[in-house]
Order: sequence, then C-alpha cells, then structure tokens
Amino acid sequence: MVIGGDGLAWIALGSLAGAICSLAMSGCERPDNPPDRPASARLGGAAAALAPSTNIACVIVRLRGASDRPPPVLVFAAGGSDAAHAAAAVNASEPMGATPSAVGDAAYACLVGAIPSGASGAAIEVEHCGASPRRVLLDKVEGERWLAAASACVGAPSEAGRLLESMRTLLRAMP
Amino acid sequence: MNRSTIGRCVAAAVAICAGATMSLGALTGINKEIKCGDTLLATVNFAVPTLYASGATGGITVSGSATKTAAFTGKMRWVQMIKTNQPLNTNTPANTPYFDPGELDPTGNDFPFYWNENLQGRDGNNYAGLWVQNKFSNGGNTLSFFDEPKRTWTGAAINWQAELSLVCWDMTTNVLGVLWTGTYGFNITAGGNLTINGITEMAVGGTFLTQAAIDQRFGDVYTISTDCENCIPTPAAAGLLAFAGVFAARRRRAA
Repeated sequence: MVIGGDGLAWIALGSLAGAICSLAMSGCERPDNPPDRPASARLGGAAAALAPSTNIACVIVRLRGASDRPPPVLVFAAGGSDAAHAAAAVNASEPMGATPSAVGDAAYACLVGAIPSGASGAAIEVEHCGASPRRVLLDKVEGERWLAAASACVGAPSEAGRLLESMRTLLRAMP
Repeated sequence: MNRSTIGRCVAAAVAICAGATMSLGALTGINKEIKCGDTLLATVNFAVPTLYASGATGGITVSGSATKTAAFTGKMRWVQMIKTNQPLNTNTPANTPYFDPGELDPTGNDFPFYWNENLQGRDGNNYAGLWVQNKFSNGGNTLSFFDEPKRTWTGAAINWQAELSLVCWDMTTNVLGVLWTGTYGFNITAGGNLTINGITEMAVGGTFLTQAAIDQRFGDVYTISTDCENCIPTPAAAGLLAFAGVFAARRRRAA
C-alpha cells in the first residue's frame, strides 16, 4: 500500500492540529469541560470526606452551608502562638484564610466540651484538632446552639466572642 | 480610543480542536489580554470552574487572577454582582442584582469591591484572608480572585449568577473604569440537579453593574465608566513618568 499525496497531507495536518491542541492545553485552560470536572451533579448524596486540618490543639469552625463570598475559617486555641500556628496550617488549604483567636485555658476547655458528639447536618462544621481529633457537621439549629454555647464560653465582648457572633449572623441569614 | 481585547489560547484551541476530539462544553477558562487601543493594560486568567457538591449543598468553585502592566493606572480591583432567587446577607429582593459581599455581611466593608479594602470587617474583627492587600502577588501586580458560592437544596429550584468585573479605581475621583467582565453561576433544579456554567466573557460592564445600582447601594460616590482611557495615564502623567524614568537612569549611570 502506498501512502502519499493527500494521505501525507492529512497526516501532516493531523499532527499539526495535535501539536497545537497539546500546546493549547498545556499553555492555557482547556476550553471544554474535562472528564474529571463534571458540569452537573445530583445533590443529596453523602457529604464530601473531610481531611484533618492540623495536629495543633485547636477548634476550627467552618460555615459549610449557603454563602456568596466564602466566609473565613475561625481557629481557636489556648494561647496566641498555638492559635497563630494552627491558623497558618489551616491557611494552606483555605482560600479565604483562617482567622486565629487566642482564648484562655478554661474557655478553650469549655469550647471543646460544648461540641456535640452525635450531631449531623451540613450548615456548620466544628473540628477539634490535635491529639484526639474529631469533627462534627451541625445543621442550622444545632449550629446556632453551639455558637451560643461557644460565645458563653469565651465571653461575648471578647475578640473570640465577636467572631463567633459574626458567624452566628451568617448562619442565621442562611435560608 | 476604542477598547481592543485579544483572546489567545482558548479561542485558538476551540477553533482547531473542536473538529477533532473535543467539543465546546459549558465550562471554559479565560486567558485574555486587556488592551486599550494598542496599550496592553492587563491579562486576565481563570481556570475552568469546578463543581462543588457536598450532601445537599451545591455550587461552583472559581479561581483566577489579573496581572496589570506598567501602563495600568489606578487601583486594580474586582467588583462582583450577584443575581439569585435566594439572596444572602442583603436586603435586596430576590432576582435583583446586589454587590458581593452584601451590605449585611459582617465580614464585609462598605466598598463596592469583592475583597475588603480594610483589614477590619464591618463587625470590627480583622479578616486578613479577605483583605485586598493580601490578595496581591508578583510585586503587587497580580490580584487573585476566588469564589465558591453555594446554596443548600431543600426541594425548591435555585438560580445563582454572578457578573465579575475587573476595574481600575481612581481614588481621587472615585471613577471605576471597567476593563473586563465575565459571568458564571449555577442552577439547582427542584429535583436536586446541580448544573454549573461559565466562566464566560461578556460585554464590558455586563448588565448588573450599572450607575443606578452603585448609586442605590453606595450613594452618589462612584462613577462607572467603560472607557478604558480611565485606566491609562493622562498624557501629562505619562510625560512625567517618562521624565522620572530618564532621571532615574541617569542617576544610576552616575552612581
């Protein structure tokens, strides 16, 4: 079989197109929707798996429900440097960054103690990180209840209290 | 001067690859040079958006950046407006565009920009991760953008659409020169099907960012303009910059 003439031209054209396609895909974004990035999905399945955030003893609070601009993540720890280190660790995976807040030892123990054990929901996530990490997802009602309890632990006028109150405002606004 | 914008890789890839193995889907990235006449002012880059789904909560994840050139004048900022049937942190009625973040968002500021102008939010707390000063890189020339809007499906249909604009902000006159606008969003059907779309370029200024909208929210403070000449130095300023450059070069040679 002889390949020539038009055949070679088509092969050359195909190679050129392939090369340009490769260049286009490596040098810039693909114009279509790649297979690993679905454009649609059915909601209502299991919540996404959550990876541990930090091994420093801290309490991390994330709003998981409805939002426009994603709210910052709150990081509470007993002591300023612990809070800063934990926030720095969380920052690496949070595009909006983490907001650290140092609280006293008693307030921190109170915060941890207030975390419900068997809750489930999707509005707010509370994580106790460190040696014995655990994480709970709370619905709006449980979330508000926890935020109120947490506020009482740290004292409402404190910086930590104001942060928790802001999160409560955002939670309340959720439909 | 007329605005001239030039798309590069994405347009080329669509044209050449569409007939082969790929097809143009609903999701696209952006790689765009923003020009004013012959002057390159900035480059806008966005990755292909991704779908966010966790339990009954769904939305879209969008990330990108804008990099300005030396010709860009004023402060580079993102302005985002949202239209949804489930507005959040605002008194704006459903299906009416509002500025993101809304006026009731305790983490926001009273500026029309997406990132906060002040470290301190409306609630008095410091939010370093939302502060525009922390969103610049590349020697202050690249401004990042990230958003992950979402809503929780409870059985009713939900629509959410954003129009995002890159602007230059003249802090003296409060003129916002709009240089580029794109749109993205998502829909959730009553049956719980989530579909995302974007990010798609649209006519500069879009349809949400109007003078009436910014006046209503911020009073008679800002002027919206789609004339790109607002974002390049005036001839006098350009002359001064050139003189300063020559002067600096002479000083370097003398040293």
